[in-house]
Parts: sequence; C-alpha cells; structure tokens
Amino acid sequence: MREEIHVSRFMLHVSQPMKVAFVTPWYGPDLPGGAETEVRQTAEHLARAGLEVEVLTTCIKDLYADWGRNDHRPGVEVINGVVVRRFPVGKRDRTAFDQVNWRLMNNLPITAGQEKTYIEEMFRVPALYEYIEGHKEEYVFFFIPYLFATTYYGAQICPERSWIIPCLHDESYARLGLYRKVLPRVRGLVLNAEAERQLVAKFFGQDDRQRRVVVGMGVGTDFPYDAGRFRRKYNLDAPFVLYAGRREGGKNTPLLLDYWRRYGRPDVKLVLIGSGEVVVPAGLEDRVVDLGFVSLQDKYDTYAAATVLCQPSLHESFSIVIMESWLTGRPVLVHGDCAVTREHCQEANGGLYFTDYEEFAATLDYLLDHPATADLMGRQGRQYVLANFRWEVIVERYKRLIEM
Amino acid sequence: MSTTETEVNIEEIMGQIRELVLARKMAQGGGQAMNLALGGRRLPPAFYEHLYQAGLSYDQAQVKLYLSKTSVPVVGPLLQWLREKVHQLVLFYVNQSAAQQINVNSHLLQALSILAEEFEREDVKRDA
Repeated sequence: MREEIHVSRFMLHVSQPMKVAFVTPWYGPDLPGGAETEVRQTAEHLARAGLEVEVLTTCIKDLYADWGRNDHRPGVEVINGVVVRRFPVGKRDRTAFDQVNWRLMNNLPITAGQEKTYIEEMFRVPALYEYIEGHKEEYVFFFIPYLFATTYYGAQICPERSWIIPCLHDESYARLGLYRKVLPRVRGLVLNAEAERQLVAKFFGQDDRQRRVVVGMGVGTDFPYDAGRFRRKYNLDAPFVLYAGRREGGKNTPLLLDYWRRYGRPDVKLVLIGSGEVVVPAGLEDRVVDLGFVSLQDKYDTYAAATVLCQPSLHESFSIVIMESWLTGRPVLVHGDCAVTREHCQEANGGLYFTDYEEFAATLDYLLDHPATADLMGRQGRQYVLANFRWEVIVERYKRLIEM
Repeated sequence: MSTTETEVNIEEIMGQIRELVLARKMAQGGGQAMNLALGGRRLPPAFYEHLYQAGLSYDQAQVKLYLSKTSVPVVGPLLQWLREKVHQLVLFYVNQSAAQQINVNSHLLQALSILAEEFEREDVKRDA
C-alpha cells in the first residue's frame, strides 16, 4: 500500500510540470531597460516553447514611477501568452529611502541600520511574498535583477527553488552586506557573461557548491536591414561611427563626445541614435549627427551603414546593441574597462577596445583604414551571436536550468 | 561560450596598435621607445595588456614641486622661500630613489618581454 501511494504521488509530480515564475519589480510590454527587456523576452520565448510561464510583479508602472503608488490594478492578466500576477504596494517612507539611496549613488558609506532602511523602504509588497510562500511548491523562481526588494525578500522564502538573474555591475549597491545574505544562498545564479561570474566571485566569494551558469541574453536574429536605405533617407554618404542607446553620463556618452572633439578626421562623422538629451560641444556641429530616437527599422539600417558601432559604456551586463551591430555584419569598438563588452569582443574577435584617448584614436584609425579587416570582424561577430545568443539556444539553456 | 573559427585575431591587432601608441607617447615625452612584447598567442591577452600599461607609465615615478601659496602677511614671502627649499631637498632624495625605481621598472619590463618572446619562439618551434 505504501508503495502504491508513493508511486501515485510520483505520477502526480511528473504529470504536472513545474511552472516557471519570473519575479521582477515591474513588468509591461513596452518597458525600456536591459533587465526589463530580458525578463519580458525570456518569459515570452519560454512560453512559446511550451513552458508554463508566469510573471509575479508589483503594481508599480516602471523604474521612474512613484514606488509607493499602484499604477496597475492588482490581479491577473495575460500579456503575449504570459500570465502576469500583479500585487499591490503599500505605504513607504520615501524620504528615508531617498536619503540612503543618495549616499549610495554618491559612493558614500552607509551603516547597517541605513541598509535596513534602504531595503525596507524601497517598496513594500507583502502580498507577493505571501503568494510565493503559499505556492512555492508549484514553481521554479527566477528573480531579476538582484537590486530590488522583490529579489531580496522573495528569494529568501524558498532559496532551494530560487534562481537569481542578478544583472550585476561593479557599483556601490553590490557592496551592501544585505545582498550577501541572499545571492550566495539561492539554488543558482543565471549570468550574462563570464565577466559577471568573476564579479560575483569578487563580491560574494567563490562557491563551487552554488550553480553559477552563464546563459546570456537572447537576441532576435532575423531582422531585415539595408545600409543603402539609411544613406538615402538621411542623405549621409560619409563613413561614420555610430553610438546607439541612451545618451547619458551613465552610458559614458560625454566621454565619447570629448574624444570625438579631440579626434581630428573631418571626413568621418559621429552619428547618435537613442533617447535622452545630448549636448553637442561647440565646433562639432558639422561632425556630429544627432538623429534622436529612430524607428526599429531605421535603427537596424543605421547599424548596417555604420563603419563601426562604438559602445563606450563601463556598466553593461550584456549590451544588446553590440549584438545587433554584429548581426548586420559591422564591427564594434568598446571601452576596455567594461569587462563584459570587452569579453564579448575577445570571444567573438568582432571588434577592438580602448582605455584612453590615444587608444580610441588608434583603434578607430585602424578600423577606418582597414575596411576588409573591419568587415571580417563584423562577420565574426555575427557568427558569435548566432552560435551563442539565438533564442533557440537560450531557451534550451533555461530548460536545462529548470531541470537541474 | 563557444567561439567560431576565426580569421582575424583582435589581440594581434591590439598588439600592433599598442606598439604604435607606445611609440607615439615616447616620442611626445622625448623618451626612448622600449621594445616590449605586446601581443602573442601563448600567454593570455591580459598579460600583454598589463605589459603595455606598465610600458606607458614605467617612467612616471618622479615627483614635481607642488607648493601651495601662503597667505601669511609680512613674513609670507620668507616663509614661502623656506618651504620651497625644504620641498626641493625632499624632492632631491625622492627623485633619486624614483630614478632607481624607473631603472628597475625598465629592466623588469624588458625581462618579461624577453620571456614572452621566448614562449612564442618555443611555440613556433613546436609547431614546425
């Protein structure tokens, strides 16, 4: 009799496949941002591959909203085939949080008490944690990114069934003691690059018992592009260096503009696309073309028409724009102090890197003066993306993680 | 991550670029360009980059006189003159030591370069 019960329980277990839950502070079909895009696209592709995928999130609209306000209605909705469960946020002491956060943003030390304030007053979403507690047997959880209260509290409820996709950067937040209580204790970490694994070891120690798996992000690989269409539309025949992405200090755009001011080849233009304000230094108006926010098709066409895409950012945990540039066959030029983008370049042999102005000028000169080699780097980059970051590859990696 | 078979090795290109940058910097600073190994297949890329970065700054050990202005009335100029003499004396000894350190840095960099080149030659011999 005992054996029969055991068998029937086992049968029940295998006949009901485990659900996958992505836990993230906000979720929506058109939210910008690296982690936001990663969770949305991964959830949708896993759902399309036949997995039962849900997103557990709050009613906060996005990163820029008031984290004490419920912009969405609590409840369940289906977005692009993914079940989304939203839980309401409660009142918080925003002033107390902002005071501590200001110190962290300015790399100032904080006390253990301030750490507690920081995480408690970030946002309060007790119904989400109650749901995780009550349904933990049904799911494998993926918490993304490491920074938020949803990950800090949620991943502690059932660490044995929890994976964290940290999207870790070398920043003041990663040095907080509170994350050391969570990240090394969950079932595993899903990482975007080998360099991120090294960063995890630096902040949270080496731990061979914990699964730390480099998965990367999926990239759509079959988009059309036409360099000629871009040149005709924007009447731009000169060779150009492309910057694509948010234009802000955090992405190192001011450094690129400063280097461009010093770089003295008048026949080459710098083309900027993306959101955010950019102040073009005086005297550079005829050497910098700011196209602002462009359509998706224009973005792909611009990649294809560029001599090289420059990604000067120091804080990338993956960099989709590099992958998209490679998919159109164009090489990239990245900042050598960003371990992740540099790793991609070295692994792909798909571009060069610089750490100061002299290297920036010399690497750019090389790419402009050796077009055949630059083309080859672009093609090698494309091969690298196709081999490692097609959605089919990423979905298979996730399936293996879920079975681990 | 799996990589595809490559036809261009970017580390070899970075080695050529670093040689160029190093030579330009030496020429600007009036120094003699050192013959450093800046690329190869045997050792990891980080080795060559450290060598390159060290090559850029191996002779930057000497200290310049930095004296803030005094606002002391009347005896200020005399005080400033005295402070300058004391600073110059300190710099004389510090820079002697720095010169020796630059010499050591130069020898170490050249020794590491010889070692890296020897590794490369061994690889070529083995492949032949």
